Amino acid sequence: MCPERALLSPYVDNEIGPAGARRVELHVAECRSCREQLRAYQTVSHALLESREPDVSAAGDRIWRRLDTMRGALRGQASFWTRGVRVPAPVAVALMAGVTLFLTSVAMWSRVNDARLELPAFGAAAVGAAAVGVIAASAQPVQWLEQGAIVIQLPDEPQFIQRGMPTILREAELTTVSARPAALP
Amino acid sequence: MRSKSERWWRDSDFGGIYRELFPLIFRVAFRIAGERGLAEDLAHEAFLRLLNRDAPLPSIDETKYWLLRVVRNLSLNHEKRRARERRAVGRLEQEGPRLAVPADTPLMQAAARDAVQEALNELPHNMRSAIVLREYAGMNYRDIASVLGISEGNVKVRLHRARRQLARLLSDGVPHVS
Repeated sequence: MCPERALLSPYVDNEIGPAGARRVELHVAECRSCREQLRAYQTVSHALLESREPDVSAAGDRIWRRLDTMRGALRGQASFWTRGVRVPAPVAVALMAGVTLFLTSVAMWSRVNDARLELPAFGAAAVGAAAVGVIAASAQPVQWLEQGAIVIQLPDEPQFIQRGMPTILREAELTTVSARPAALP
Repeated sequence: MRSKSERWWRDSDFGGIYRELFPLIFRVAFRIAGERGLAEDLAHEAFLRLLNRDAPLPSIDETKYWLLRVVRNLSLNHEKRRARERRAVGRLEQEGPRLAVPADTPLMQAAARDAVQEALNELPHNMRSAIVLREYAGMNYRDIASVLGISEGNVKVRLHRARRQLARLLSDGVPHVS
């Protein structure tokens, strides 16, 4: 068999370079067997392209309708974060009321705690002022204490002892100092 | 990870991709499968799988090659399944006339057969895929190799053998073939 015969199919497909194509053309001009084979290959290609086939557009429409139905079904699928949830109205109202009650309770509890801490905070501010030597600022509360205008009441909670004990002791020291104003700087 | 609702085709023109690629995909599916109904099923399944992809393919060419690969694999699977069924039917026929199954339905007998398509159907699946991708998809050897997952040299060999076999098969039906 001619070695060029293996080049006939790539020649039909235009998959060999100009040099290969020239070699094939020179060969088939002299070799009857390869010339007939090349013609057969070209005829096969022509027959394949000319053979009838089903109506592509009708098939395309049919399949598109099927796909479009599937797309509609897929479009209905929402992600977890955007998916809507059906809840009966009474349940929704009860949930909202519960959430509101919970938030109100949290806010009130927080406010009570803040109020409990006001007293030590006031004392700390007074002691801090005394420590830097601002007598006018620290003497006024002491006078109020002596006059009974304000009363420092020690809370009973154990938490207060842990957090407020040093401050209360300083309040006592401040009271002692106020009894001897001349000793203050 | 993208969720199902974030499918890529929501932001892309799936209709445009379909319009551009369907004729080629269907033509190739028909030539490989050899039947219109089966070709429609293959094309539908291929585009459905494209629709269900979570990530887009980078280009229209990549999409085309991906769809062709899917069609080729689906048709190969179908052919293997059909061969198993034929073997099973053959065994049943050997067991006795009572269990024999008619080879062709009246609908199949009535269907007009195209000589070229019948010759294509005679080719082994690997040769048929190569010649169909070359002749009907107009792909070069490198792209055919990519779709079929073989070397370019193998593509050349398959096409050469497919043409030689087709020329022999068509020599009676196609007057120009010597």
